[in-house]
Amino acid sequence: MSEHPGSWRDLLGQAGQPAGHGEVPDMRLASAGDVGAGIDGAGGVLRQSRMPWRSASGVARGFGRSMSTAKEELGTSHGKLKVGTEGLSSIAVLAAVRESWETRLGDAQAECASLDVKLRNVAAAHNENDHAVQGSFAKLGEQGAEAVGRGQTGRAGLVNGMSLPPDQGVRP
Amino acid sequence: MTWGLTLPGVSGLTWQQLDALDLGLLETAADGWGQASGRADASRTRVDNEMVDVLKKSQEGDAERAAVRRLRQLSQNFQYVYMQCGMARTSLNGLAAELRAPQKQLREVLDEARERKFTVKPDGSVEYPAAGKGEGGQPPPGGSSGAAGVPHHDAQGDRQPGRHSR
Repeated sequence: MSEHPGSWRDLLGQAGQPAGHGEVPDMRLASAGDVGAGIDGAGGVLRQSRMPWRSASGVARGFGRSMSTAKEELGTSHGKLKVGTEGLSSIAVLAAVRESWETRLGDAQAECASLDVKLRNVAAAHNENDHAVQGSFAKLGEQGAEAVGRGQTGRAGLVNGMSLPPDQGVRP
Repeated sequence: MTWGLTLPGVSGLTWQQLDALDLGLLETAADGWGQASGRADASRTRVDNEMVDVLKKSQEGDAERAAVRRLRQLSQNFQYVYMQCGMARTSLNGLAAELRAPQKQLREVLDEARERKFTVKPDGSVEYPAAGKGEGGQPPPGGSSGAAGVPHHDAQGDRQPGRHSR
């Protein structure tokens, strides 16, 4: 391919793409990886499955509970400390340190809850996407089956064999 | 009878307070920090093994990269909690251990004073009664020894040694 026209060069320059190297800028999914990361340099790679996200979400939820328990344990373990250690100035300092750490543990708990929701959302989004794609293929299959039934095309039913009745399937 | 109490960091501690200290409470508090530290350590391991590694191996894309970045930050935060809470636990256990020896020494001295029917005054001085036979058939008179190196604590009354609980 020859040099890009001036207007294209400007646009590519603004977009930070190398212009004028005889290459067409790659267009790929926003969620895909860098060029060359895929098999045979075919572009970005996108691998998605639902279970790891759901599992990670469950682990994050567990962290939230664990941090909450840690906060409670810290409070309980210091319950009678002030009374039984009168005269130790370091205990007064410790109270301030503990208060600060209870806040931090609360923050960690909130962070884990936030992560739980985000990870669960990724899993849900993937699930919906998966079902939508599956549904669209099923629809294609039905259309193919109708086409076969009408005799318009011989092998269209193979788009989605699942939707074809056994007697309409095309056998090898 | 005199004894000097020079405990680093607890110079304001009177002998009565040292006697009454429940060092087990310091260790219980240390356990609380230890539990928080342990939970953070276990959480860090799970973030690394059950989240970051799993997502990196099974997923690829911007969502995976963003999630892994944030999870690594979470892992570092857990590591920080683990270390800091662990330090608090160590400090409290160390304080209890350092105070245990002088407390034991103090209690032994107080027990000894009680056995001899001496009275330990709030300022650490000791009064002793007349006893035995002295010159001319008279018992040696009672008296007291001054305190040295023991802080005063006027708010409390005399201490009859041996009444403390163990």
